[in-house]
Amino acid sequence: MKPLELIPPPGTSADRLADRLGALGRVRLEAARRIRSTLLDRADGVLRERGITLEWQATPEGHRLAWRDGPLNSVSIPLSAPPPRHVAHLPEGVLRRRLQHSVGHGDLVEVASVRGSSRRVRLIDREEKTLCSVSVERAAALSPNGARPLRLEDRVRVVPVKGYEGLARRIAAHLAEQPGWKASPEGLYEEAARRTGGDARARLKARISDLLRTMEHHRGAIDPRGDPEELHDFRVCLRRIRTLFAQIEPSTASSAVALELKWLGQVSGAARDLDVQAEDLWRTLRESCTHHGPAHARIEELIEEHRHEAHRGLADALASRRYARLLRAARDALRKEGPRPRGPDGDDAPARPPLSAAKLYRKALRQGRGLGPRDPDERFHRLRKTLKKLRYLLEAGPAREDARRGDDALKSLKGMQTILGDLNDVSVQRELLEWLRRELEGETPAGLHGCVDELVALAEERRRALKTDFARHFGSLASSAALRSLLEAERGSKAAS
Amino acid sequence: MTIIAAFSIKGGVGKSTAAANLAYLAARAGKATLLFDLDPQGAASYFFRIRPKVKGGVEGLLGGEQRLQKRIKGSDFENLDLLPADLSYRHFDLAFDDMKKRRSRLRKMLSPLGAHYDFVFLDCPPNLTLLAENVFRAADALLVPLIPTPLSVRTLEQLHAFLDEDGKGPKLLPFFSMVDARKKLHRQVMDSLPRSFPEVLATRIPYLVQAEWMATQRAPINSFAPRSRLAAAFEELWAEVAARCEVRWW
Repeated sequence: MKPLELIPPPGTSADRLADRLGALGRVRLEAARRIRSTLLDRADGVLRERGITLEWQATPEGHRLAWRDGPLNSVSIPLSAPPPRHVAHLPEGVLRRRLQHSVGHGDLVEVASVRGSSRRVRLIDREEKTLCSVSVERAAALSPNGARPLRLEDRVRVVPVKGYEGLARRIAAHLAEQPGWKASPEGLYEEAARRTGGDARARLKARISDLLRTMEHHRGAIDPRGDPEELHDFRVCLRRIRTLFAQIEPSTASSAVALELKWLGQVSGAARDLDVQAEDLWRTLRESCTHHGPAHARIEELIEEHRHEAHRGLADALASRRYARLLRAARDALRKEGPRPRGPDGDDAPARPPLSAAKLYRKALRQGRGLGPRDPDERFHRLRKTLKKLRYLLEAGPAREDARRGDDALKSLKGMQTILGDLNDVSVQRELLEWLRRELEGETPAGLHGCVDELVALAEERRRALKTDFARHFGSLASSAALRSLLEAERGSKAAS
Repeated sequence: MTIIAAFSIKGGVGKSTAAANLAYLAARAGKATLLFDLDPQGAASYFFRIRPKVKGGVEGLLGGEQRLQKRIKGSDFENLDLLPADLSYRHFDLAFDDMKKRRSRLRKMLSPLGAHYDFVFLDCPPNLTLLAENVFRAADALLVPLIPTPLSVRTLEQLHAFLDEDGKGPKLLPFFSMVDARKKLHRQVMDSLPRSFPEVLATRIPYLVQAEWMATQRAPINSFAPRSRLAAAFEELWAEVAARCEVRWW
């Protein structure tokens, strides 16, 4: 069912509309409400293309995020400010699932804002149940860069209620027949997006600029003695910037920036790893280690030194010319209007890498089959990377088409990835402990070596447990009917095309 | 999708009131919710001002997802839809009895709705029939309102015995409903029952005149008297039910 929006003759008020609709049945006129909403979309405008409206509304009761896929298929959730940037920021539920299927891992960007007022006339039955509502909307659109508001055409929106769609159609037809009325060629939000430019690519660039500013803000606060979350937030911004750069255009300028961003990721990753591992080791020392006293103090001292050294390396990198050049190059790349990536048919859609989920799955099976507690961690890490790619690929394609099987398949992949992620953490910790052992060689405070041995034993025990867990989970992943049938479906659709 | 059934062998204990209010609270929290009024009396449909009539009756519901979807009505509240009651629902048992896998027909009927709803609340009629067995197979949790009196407690024991025998029971979530704390008998039962049934929820729904306003206002209590004691009790009950059903909000 198409959205039922009409352009009324100038000067049509809600009172006049209520009089007109009164001829069709009982009506209730409600008080006027403010419209304060922001339209969100993925950078490539996929939601708009599919006729989906994702709207972040400010209402007197608080903020809400509303999804509309046609007039009948709508769902909204209460959500505090600011507007969500990513699907992962949303609560579990139908809205998140639908959005995940449409935008995958893409960031949400603000496309336009609408400000105005709306007054609703409800058509009710004898029981006073709403059968349809018709609202008169007067609004202006604002682009995210805060340009002057653009007045939009007044319009009347007929909103059907599930189970009573026929009435809404009849009302829309009745109004469209009246002199001076016409059906609107586009919805209020489509018009808002069009009039304000609606270029999601420009919004995406604005978003990257925001992220660069936030990253810079966190950079100033990174301190090994301060809050470790600053470095974490810095890295979150960095990761998001890397993903978004990949979404704009694979031009030479931005791919050079991408390489430098990768370098920054590696430098900051070492310091962050040590922040995390140090905290984990303190906890293990306090809770599980039976040796106490000076041994703890010495270990803490050494790891702290090591951590500070990594932070010094990071601080040097952040103060270097290379970092300054990177920021400059990133800003330049955002200013330049590079060529848009062309799809296979010459359209504007970014060409998808020709990766096959089935191939990745087979590769994962090859890598994971027979892996046991004695195999080196690198092999598990390689499998982890393959499974991550497979998951992203499924999320972007087949899992979107088939929600039920897709959810089951993704669930089994995520379970496996949790184990492999934990295993990776243990592996990093094990390396740190080996380094510690080397550093402590020749030192003799009471219980020092015993304490390190105990930490190593605990890490080994955890590693063994995780690898045993892995074998069990891998079996169920390899025999996952949902995953197999999803891949079969993908192969089938490819063959058909 | 989580399916929660308001069920009791005994009538007049507050099943429809609980189902209507909890469905409203779930919807208000942003969960896409469907309330399925299985009781031919149609009290839950009445609360939402929806006529207790379904095209084609029971048969109309059994013809696949498309037909089921067409019979769902939108309520006046965001995220909340309703599958209204119908007098023909008294023949649910007969309809299921003629089918293969007759105990899991309801589950099969509801499973396609998983793509559209986070929660389905079932307002069940008070009896222990084939429909009830279908409810036990379909639901993830059974919300059992109990008036703190010996007769009501007896029905909980009967339900327990039945579910043990059946062996495929959902999570049982009994709670005290229509509680009058001035009555000694109510206080005694509320003190003693949790010892033998530890799963009884801590929230108690008081016996208040506000519950009757629901029938005059024809809306859930939290929508028109959100600051009332009854509304607060239902909010508390919803929080407890959601925690027991392990609802992930984030």
